[in-house]
Amino acid sequence: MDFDFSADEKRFIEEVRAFLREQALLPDAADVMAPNRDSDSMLSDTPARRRFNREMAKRGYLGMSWPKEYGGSEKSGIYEYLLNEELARVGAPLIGKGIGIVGKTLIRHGSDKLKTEFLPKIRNAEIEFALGYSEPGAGSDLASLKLKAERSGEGWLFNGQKIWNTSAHFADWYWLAARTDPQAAKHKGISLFLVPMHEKGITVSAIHTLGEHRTNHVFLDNVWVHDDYRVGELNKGWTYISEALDFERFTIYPFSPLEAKLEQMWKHIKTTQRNGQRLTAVPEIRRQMARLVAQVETAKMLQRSVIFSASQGGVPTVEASMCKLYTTALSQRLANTMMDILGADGLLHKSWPDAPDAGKWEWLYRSSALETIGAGTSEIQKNIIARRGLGLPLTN
Amino acid sequence: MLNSHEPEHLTLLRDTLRRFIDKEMPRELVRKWDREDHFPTDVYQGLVELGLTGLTVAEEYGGTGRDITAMIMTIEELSARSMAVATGYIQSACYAGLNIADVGSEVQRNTLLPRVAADGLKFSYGFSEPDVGADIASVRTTAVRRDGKIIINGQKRWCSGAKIAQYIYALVRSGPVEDRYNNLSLILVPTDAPGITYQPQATLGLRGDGTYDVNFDQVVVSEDDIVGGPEGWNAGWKKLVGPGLNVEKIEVAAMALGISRAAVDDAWAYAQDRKQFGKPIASIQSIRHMLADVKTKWQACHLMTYHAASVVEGQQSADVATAMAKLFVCDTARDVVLTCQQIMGAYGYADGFDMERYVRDILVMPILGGSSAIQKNNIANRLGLPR
Repeated sequence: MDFDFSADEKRFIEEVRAFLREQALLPDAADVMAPNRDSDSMLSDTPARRRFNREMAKRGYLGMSWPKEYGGSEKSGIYEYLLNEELARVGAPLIGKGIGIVGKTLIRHGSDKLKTEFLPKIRNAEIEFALGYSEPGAGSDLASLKLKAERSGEGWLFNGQKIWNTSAHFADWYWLAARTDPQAAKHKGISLFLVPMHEKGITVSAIHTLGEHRTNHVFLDNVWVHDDYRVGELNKGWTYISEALDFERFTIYPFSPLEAKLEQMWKHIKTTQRNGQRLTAVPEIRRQMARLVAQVETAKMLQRSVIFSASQGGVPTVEASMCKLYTTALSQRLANTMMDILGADGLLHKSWPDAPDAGKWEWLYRSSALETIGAGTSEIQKNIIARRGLGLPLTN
Repeated sequence: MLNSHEPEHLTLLRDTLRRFIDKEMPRELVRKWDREDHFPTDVYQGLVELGLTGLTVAEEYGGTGRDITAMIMTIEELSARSMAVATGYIQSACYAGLNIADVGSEVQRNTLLPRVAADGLKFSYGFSEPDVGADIASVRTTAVRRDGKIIINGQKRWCSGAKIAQYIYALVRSGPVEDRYNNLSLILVPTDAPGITYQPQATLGLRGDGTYDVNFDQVVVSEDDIVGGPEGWNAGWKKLVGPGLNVEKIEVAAMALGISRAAVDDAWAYAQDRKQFGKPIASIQSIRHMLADVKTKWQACHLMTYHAASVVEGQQSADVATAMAKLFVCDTARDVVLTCQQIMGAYGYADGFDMERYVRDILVMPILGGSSAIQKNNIANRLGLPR
């Protein structure tokens, strides 16, 4: 396989880079682009972030792969992937779940009412969503979720709780998976709904994490929503959730942050002396760096195989699992290696003025712990590879 | 019990410690200390009253007689619950007790050791500086001797527990730069001496004791505060790299052992409670294997740590055994904790569970007290590997 981007794709990359260079000059750029703490800008809500997203909308970057009738430009999904790579490289917010999971599912399965109400707002970056999937008892085994939706008049009454709902504290709407048929097999009794996040009966409670990002525990107590806000067919929720993940797999794990971190490691190592010796001359550091460079190249190739498969019209489920499994563990190895190289200084928090690279590495050590857990744990990725890729039957 | 040959007094000590920890150091409080960067003085005094800081002090000075294995066990047990308390204990029993017994003057032994045993007197190490880490002989903080007084100027970094200690155990340059290794002295600087200022550092883990940049500006102490007395002037290096260094390596191993044990225990219990796919995740083979791996690795860490302690006690040359224990236990314990975090999924990442604290606390273990790289050098050199 010899994969390269087409001339138009390369032109697009340059266009996005020029856009980001322009944005970097604005006074609020530091709030939008946080290259030392990637994903900070994704997970918190600031006026700067909203402004930036609206600017992306104006440029036509939101909904590039959507059909023209919904305001999209019917481009291949590769453009969204390329955009995300460039955004991730500078630590800017990626195009989010609105354009991806919510928008694409509504386009395929939503009613005309929902399409009319939500798609323009998503494309114009006027609306934020939180995903309500996981529950205290339903993590890797998501299909066992229990949050109840019961018929009540012309709508549905929700009772139960969700956990790990990042952005629930600032979202406008909730993309909620609920149990609508408790009698059916667990995959066949789930439906998807859109619920206003500020509806009476919803309580959002903060969970603070090792990586300093807030996530949330959400409680629903007799929350009522009209049946118009049910997405697609009743009890087809699991199919929609899985399908949406399949569209998204190749846009959600950008490779550029790994490359950027490796470059920053090199820069530190090349410009630092310790005990009168250049770090580049320390044999153990040379060995570690050589190993990491080879592994980052491997990660790049795994990422490319995901894109290649998608560009051929496939659904790169297995390729994406391999890529996620490998790159997330690599990101942790990279953080650990840099902490070893920095020694005690590496422990300094960003609030300490002398912290190397503004505390990036200490923070990365903490925050990268999430990578092998969130969005399908490494164990789940191995199951996908074994079952769907290798055809190994599940025996127990 | 893990070791069926454990002497009875150690089994009794472990039981006493566990009762004390369960009663005085409940998890909720420990989380609060970590969150608020608080050192629980009253709990620490309880440990002192149990006689635990006296485990490094000879009976003639009011201690229970030096028992390195018992001291290591105390560190392991405390670290399995709270690093705030464990590091405070080390500042007394190890930093103050062991050093003064080994390299203090007669006067210092008579005055300070009883305070270690009875009051839990604490030292904070003042070795590193902003530009001096592994190459500790290059310190730039200076001490000048004038009219029977010592005047100290300079800056120290990573002074852990400086604000709860009574003395900074400071390594300073007291002779000409060119007399490398013969130009250093260890000085006991009272932490409330005029001219000292403290700047707290924000760090990843080990909250409770705090770590500080300590600045000495014309700080005056007496000749009696030179470690070893007036004869200790310019004799600091030998005192620093003496047998005490071997014990320090296994203190760190014991901390790593304690933290990783707590992580294994939590993951072990969680895997049995947590149900996914209709069964406890402990019944899923990949999780069972992870748990079997961490138990096995932890057992190896335990054996190496206590073996090294017994070599130190046996008065044999312990340089290699302690370096190997420091290297292996700290690196392995870090892997163990990260695997346990993975088992707990998102709960291992969230506040309100202890796993994220174990992750923050374990990272410094391969760095503290001689990094893994330094231990590798020690091992190769001490085993006589030709260059």
